[in-house]
Amino acid sequence: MRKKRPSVVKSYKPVPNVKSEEQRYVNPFIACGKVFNPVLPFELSQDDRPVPLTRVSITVKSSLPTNVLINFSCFITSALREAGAFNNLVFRLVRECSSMKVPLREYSFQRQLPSPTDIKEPLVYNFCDENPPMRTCTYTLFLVKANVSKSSFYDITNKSMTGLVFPAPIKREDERI
Amino acid sequence: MKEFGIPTLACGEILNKKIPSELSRKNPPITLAKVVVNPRTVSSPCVLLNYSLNIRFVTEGIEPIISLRFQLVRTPKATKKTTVLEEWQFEGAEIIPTDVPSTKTIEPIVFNNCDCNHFSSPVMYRMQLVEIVTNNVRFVIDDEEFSAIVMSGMDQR
Repeated sequence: MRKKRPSVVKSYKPVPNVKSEEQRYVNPFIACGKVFNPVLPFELSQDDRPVPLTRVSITVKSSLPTNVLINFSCFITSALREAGAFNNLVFRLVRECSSMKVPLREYSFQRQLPSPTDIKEPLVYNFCDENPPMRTCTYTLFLVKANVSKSSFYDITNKSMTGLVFPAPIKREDERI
Repeated sequence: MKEFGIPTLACGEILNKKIPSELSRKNPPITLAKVVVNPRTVSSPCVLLNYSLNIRFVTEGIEPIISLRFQLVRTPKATKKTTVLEEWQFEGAEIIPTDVPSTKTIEPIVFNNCDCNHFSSPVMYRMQLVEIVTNNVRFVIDDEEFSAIVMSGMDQR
């Protein structure tokens, strides 16, 4: 929200300096992410185009150090239809500020069980991003690899992503332990 | 907001230490991650700690066992006295009578703890491994993440 200054000041009260007030601290806030529902490929290799699953955009209206806690959650269904069948997935968290793309983390998920099994499991990933380089950044979680054994399949449901934005603690020498 | 102080988020440090396949309680615990916060910057502070990791393991024979015990400890700067806040265990075991091909698993885990206390100084929180028991299992710890949110817990008292 951009605060507009009144064009005409009618009273003689001093106009509060909104800008310097905003610079002094950042109110913590939550950014809810967008969820995409693409058709999930049966096979996906690292050479293929990554499949975006969720995305959250964060704009911080202060130049003070700010930390961002990214939270992603979903359910993963693995339908493993024979002994030793497997489901290998790789996710990638990418941060994009202006056009500067940085892969932050790659998460592997792997299921392989000695007997045929259908299993649906919750999955949560957290990432604490210490003072991202720019004030507006977009975080996207991609599926970058899927490798599932023959006659088995997988699914990713109930996807969700949030960004929690907080001021970074002030680091002082005397606070070291 | 300002009357309670400004909440903060601190990203923790991951220490990436070499982890043995066995560890008994007689040994000193292995610190995996740490984070330092100063809860005194808000009134009636509470600290929400979030630790997550992937445990990646491969079974390599009959009767595979993996058991990892973790603990979360708090050390205030003023007293240097370490308190164990919570202990938790990750365990996987399978009784396999015949030799089956090895299986590979990655288990994602998230652990939260909410610590409301009469803090008098900055505190360090550490996530530690205190006990490791394995049999026919190889494992690694991956993708660790540790963070702390300091916020007022006005309604707690």
